[in-house]
Amino acid sequence: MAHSTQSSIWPSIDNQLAASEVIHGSALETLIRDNQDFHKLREEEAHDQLGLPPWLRVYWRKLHPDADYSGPGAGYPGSLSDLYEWMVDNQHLRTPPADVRDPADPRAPSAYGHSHKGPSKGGHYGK
Amino acid sequence: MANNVRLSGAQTGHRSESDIRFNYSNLQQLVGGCNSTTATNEQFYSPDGGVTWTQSNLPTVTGDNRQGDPAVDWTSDGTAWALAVGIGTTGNVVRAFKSTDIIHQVWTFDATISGTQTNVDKPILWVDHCPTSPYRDNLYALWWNNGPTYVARRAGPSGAWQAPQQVSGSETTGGSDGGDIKTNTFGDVFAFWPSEGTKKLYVAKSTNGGANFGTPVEIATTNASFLVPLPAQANRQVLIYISGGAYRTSTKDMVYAIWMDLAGGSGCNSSGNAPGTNVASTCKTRIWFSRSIDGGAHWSTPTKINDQSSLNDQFHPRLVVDETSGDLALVYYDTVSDPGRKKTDVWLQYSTDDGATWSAPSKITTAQTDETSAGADAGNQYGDYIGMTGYAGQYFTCWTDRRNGGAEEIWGASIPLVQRAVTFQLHRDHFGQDEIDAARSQPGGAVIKTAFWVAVDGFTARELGLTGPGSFAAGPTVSFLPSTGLVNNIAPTSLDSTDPTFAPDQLQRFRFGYDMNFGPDDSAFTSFSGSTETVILTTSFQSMPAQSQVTLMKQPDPFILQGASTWWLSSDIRLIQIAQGDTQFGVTMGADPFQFLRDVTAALEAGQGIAGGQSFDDGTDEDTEVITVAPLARRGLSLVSVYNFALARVHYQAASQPANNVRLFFRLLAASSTASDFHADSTYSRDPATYPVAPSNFGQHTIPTPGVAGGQYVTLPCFGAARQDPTQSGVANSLPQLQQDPLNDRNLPATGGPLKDFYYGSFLDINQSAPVLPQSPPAGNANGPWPPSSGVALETLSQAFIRGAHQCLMAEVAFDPDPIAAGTQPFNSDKFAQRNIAWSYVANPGVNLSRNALETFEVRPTDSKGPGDTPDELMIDWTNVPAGQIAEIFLPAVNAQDVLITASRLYGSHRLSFVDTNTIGCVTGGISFIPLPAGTGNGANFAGLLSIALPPGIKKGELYTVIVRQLTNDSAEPSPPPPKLTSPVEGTRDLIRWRKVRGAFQINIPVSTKELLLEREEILLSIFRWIALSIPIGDRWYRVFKRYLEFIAIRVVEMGGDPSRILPSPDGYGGIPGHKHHQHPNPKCEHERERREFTGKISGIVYDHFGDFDGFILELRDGDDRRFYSRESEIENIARFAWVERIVTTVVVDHENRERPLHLILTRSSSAPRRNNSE
Repeated sequence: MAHSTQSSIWPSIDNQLAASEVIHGSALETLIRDNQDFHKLREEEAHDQLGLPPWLRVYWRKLHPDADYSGPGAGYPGSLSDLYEWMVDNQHLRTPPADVRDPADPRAPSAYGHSHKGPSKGGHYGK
Repeated sequence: MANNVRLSGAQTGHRSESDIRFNYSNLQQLVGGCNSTTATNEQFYSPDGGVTWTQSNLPTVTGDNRQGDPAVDWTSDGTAWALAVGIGTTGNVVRAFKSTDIIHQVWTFDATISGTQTNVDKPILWVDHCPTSPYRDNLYALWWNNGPTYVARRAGPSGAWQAPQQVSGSETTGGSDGGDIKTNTFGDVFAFWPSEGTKKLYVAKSTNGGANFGTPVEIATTNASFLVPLPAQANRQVLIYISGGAYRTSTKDMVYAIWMDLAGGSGCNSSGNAPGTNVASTCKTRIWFSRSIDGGAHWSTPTKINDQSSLNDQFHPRLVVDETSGDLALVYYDTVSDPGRKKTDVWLQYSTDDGATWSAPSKITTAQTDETSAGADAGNQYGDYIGMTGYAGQYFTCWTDRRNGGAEEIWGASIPLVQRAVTFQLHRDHFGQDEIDAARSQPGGAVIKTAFWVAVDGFTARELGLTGPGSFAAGPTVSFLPSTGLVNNIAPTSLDSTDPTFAPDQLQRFRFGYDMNFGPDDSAFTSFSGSTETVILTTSFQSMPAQSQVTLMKQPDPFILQGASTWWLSSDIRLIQIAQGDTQFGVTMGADPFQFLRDVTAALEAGQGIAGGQSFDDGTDEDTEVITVAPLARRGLSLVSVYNFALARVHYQAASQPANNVRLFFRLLAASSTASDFHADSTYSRDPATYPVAPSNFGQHTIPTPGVAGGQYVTLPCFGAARQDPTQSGVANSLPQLQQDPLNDRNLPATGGPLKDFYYGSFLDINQSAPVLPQSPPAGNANGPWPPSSGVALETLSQAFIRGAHQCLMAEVAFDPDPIAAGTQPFNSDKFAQRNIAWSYVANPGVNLSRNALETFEVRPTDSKGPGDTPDELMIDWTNVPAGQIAEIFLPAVNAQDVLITASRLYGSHRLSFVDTNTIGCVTGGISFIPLPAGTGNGANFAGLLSIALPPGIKKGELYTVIVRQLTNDSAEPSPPPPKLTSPVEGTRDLIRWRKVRGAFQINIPVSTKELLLEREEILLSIFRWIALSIPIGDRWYRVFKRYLEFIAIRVVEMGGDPSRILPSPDGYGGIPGHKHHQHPNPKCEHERERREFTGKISGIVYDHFGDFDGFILELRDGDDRRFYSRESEIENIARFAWVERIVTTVVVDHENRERPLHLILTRSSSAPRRNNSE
């Protein structure tokens, strides 16, 4: 579990889970709960218009600690919103089977999607 | 607006962000890609210049949950390349893919090109396409990772992606999302990116094929940074995304950058001022532009390209530099057409002067998109960019589009980059003194209506202040030099456009029409001493001059006139269709067509145009003005022979000198035609034994022979005397020497002063049954004779030559002292005239194809005369045809895609579409231009079929008219002193160039009823099915005629007939069940007959030319008229009674003989029914 860094400018964990329509017990819930250390973020990020939840920013910063997060774009790629959309739609976070394997891919597998066997997303939980 | 096509196919999942690129080695091929809410990016491919599209997807790669940020390009080996961001839960990478299959449906993973980076975004792909570049086919990819901008390159398809190199430095802070990369023709590479932290834009240049890049150079400082929220895209917001370009020659080294930013000024110069969702905000976004003229070292102060005063937002600009010309084209979204500031259109602007000035914006989209309304992909909205590509004058753009209100799709358009031009289009370029004198004595005086046009390209209606046809006064004035005798400095009298609605923001071709007034006296012709005078036409519009010339001719010799403004409808030619026993010009048609001709021409000449109470100049009606391939006509209950004739009137005026050996050659073309220009050695050939000079001892003047072009008969001479037996023995090509035609070879006596008319005539024997002509010219013996021993199969003229319901007739005055020059058109000469009008009936009420007017035709495009020449065009005036209807032009010798691509290149807008490989669709209304590529005609005329669908609301009695003209190029050396004027597009400094009409035909479309039309249509189908049996597969007419018959068969069905029962027959009636030649109808027992009833009121009693009762007309309850035939006096009495009393009448007929009443039932509704039955 992440450190308790909640302050008044960041939404509560319940609000975060509700905002993303998170299925209880899913890998996504685990990921969100593991990335509540909002002290890694700039305070103005609580009010910017990027549309990215704070837990995802924390998660991304942990993955890319060397990025320049000082600018107006806060250093996040635009495609992060696509990833967020995918996470909400695929809360087990298991990467689907691929057509092609790239042995040179620099990324490590996600611990969340591979270690957690959460319930599949029900239709009424749709985004 | 440009034609909009859907690249992505209909989608239920959302699409956004798209890129597109021509294959520079084959501009028919385009590849595109877009984001998709499915797992992988969607790819598009077009094999036909963007007309049709197929879709596929990139493969998924291990570790990717999604893909995004599409980028595409081609290498010269035909490999299509794509980039995408591979989005995974542990980071993002840049993936490269490629496609090498012929139809580019299969994409394979190539490589991950971002090395160890996992926080990438916005990859852009560019290939060095320039054949002369030392780095041709180098692939360059640019993206952002962790803040800085990186570039990777690959040395062509056979190379490998090299490790990314960082091109931004410490000047760049806070991210550099939204860059671009481009090359120039020298292989220099330019990487562009924004510095989000410092609000600056940078470029770095490589002169060694991307091996390394120089120090970044600042382009500009922006007002906002990174993302700008605006009402149309407040959720996703709009990225300040640079679109760059470069162009280098031996004298230029241009680099360009374009981007969206806040408009600037107080209250709109920082990110905090962005309008967000506030549609009332006075802060707005604009497209900004800066250029470098020194290869990127220094940059101009940024300017706003289109800074409207209204509260609208512009975003997502995409710039293209045409490497072949340096022209710039720019597209972007703009909310300017939506007062609510949320709906967008895509707009185009272009520059042909290195960005110094830009064209007025023109709208590309045909429908708006609203990404703020229900159903939109609220998160992605439009995405971050749109696509654009351009090369060698062709451009294509694509964009996110939600016009359908459902999911976002990707739409695109081949976009016009039409040069601004002012060009003369001459309707006529020669005027004869005789003709003008004759016109002067007529109502309206010596005024040639619409003698020429001035065409204006590259402008919108708004720019020129044109709101409709009534705006013609805004057109340019035209002056003449010399102007003696002419009303000079004339203003236009008409205006039309390729868009009949004159949409204000659409590029379109405008056409101003002008009348030439030769004034009250003859001084225009008497002021010069020679036989001809060249008159220079000069104008200037929107600071663009244009020039052309016409010729005035003195020719005091026999002449024949054109129509005053419709030169394809000569007023000195009449066509006659007459049945045996009928009378024209006081002469009753007997069994000898040549006797009829002799009598009619003699009567007309004696009466100087008046004979039998008829005038040669009387208005013609369609039933007798056309000639027919049917040899029989119904007269009462009988079928009688019908004959076709042509009459021509030749004018001559001489005090004392006779004009000897004045011959009149009549020729038919196979169908309506624009290919009517005169060439005595081919299409208007003459007996080679007597032409150009007959032997002194020959004793006969030359005679016309069948015209041949491309190995086909294309014109057919007809005579006022019987054709020679073509099967008689004789040496090859000697048949014409035996042919006599005394009626049309005359010595015209002196008139003693006044003008006198002389009448000539020809029997048009196309419906005769004798086989007289081979299907195609036998080698070495095109003119015959062809005795049985020759092995040449002869056919009737209809089988061998006739290819439609209407034929163009040409009349040529052969007068040796004044020969017709090669290339002459009827409007060029007072020795050459034509009657080129077709009557194509449609039905009301009718369904579908019964309301389709059909016309076969011929065209023959001319060769381009120079590199600047545009192809010939068909110019179709829809006159009173309702706008918005669909016409189709089927031309098997022409590739429809070529036509559409050329049209997109030539016109600001058009309403043409792809129907099939050889068929072009065209929306009616105003005027349409259709490029006519050289095609594959092998020198022969192109055979074609025009079908025009009329709407359900047409009414019987209406008449619609369509005029088809063929435009071609013309040019001349400027006459001394050379005025310093050229057409800005087509002109060179050496020649003045203009367009002129080469040929024309007219289609009249009368509306009748299906009941009245059915038999005519059935007969036509039967005869044409018989003709079709003779047309060889591979003949230029084969496919056209086949389709023609298919359409006629459908018309028969929709008129209530059954085409499956109609058999091939040379006379038509023989192929229709129930009809017997020259016999009364089927004598079945009455009780066995299938009856039909028609109820209405009798609206007319019909009498024949002898005054005998011939039937009546019943006005049906639905408003249609139906004709019934009867010679019975009792029927006449009953019909007259019912007609006078307005009694509701039911006519009962036999199903197989629906014109002959079996019973009449008279019903008086106001009292007890009273019936009178009669047979």
